[in-house]
Amino acid sequence: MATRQTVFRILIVALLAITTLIVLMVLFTWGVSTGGSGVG
Amino acid sequence: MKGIGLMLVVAGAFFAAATVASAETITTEESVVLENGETVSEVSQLTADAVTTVNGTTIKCKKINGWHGLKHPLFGYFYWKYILTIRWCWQSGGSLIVKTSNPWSPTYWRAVECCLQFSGWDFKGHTGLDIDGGANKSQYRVRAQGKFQQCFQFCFNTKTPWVRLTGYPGGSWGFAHGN
Repeated sequence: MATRQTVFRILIVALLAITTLIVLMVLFTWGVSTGGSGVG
Repeated sequence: MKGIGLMLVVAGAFFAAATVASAETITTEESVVLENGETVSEVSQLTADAVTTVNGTTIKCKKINGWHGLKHPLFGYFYWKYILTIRWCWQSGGSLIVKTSNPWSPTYWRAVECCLQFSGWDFKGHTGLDIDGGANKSQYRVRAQGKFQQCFQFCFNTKTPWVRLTGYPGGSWGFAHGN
């Protein structure tokens, strides 16, 4: 039973880590180039 | 379970800070002070006005800016912006750029808005500057290029934005930009 709990914890932590990484990548590395101009 | 809870709290705090983070404006060059003591921000008020009358001639000036930036496609915030501004003057009805000292022209400014907090982006400096034309020519064209890098423990993203502005006698102007 203890082994099953450990595996479950590892899976949860791994899932959280992957989710965090994906969210970080979406927030900070996803970008599009754009430009503009104006008077003044 | 305590470890998972701690991780959630840390991640939550990080995202909250990232969401409210705004791009800090950093000007890479000191503001230009003109001969008469005016600063650039004050001179911008003179944009496109006739500024000098010498022996009956009217000089007109214009100030324009162009920028290239990196923007988040979903949330719309900017990681950074690379900005170029030029001002040029011409004699009313004439076909040449004229040199003036109040306001100073033809001239340019480069600036950056850098960078979104926690994004890892940083401005690495200006890498290129080309000036074409100017006083007594039929155009004033400036092309400026800068370098931004995204680094945490190592750099994994580099952008070299450029902006080109062209001013013509009469007040028409052109703009181009790229990476």
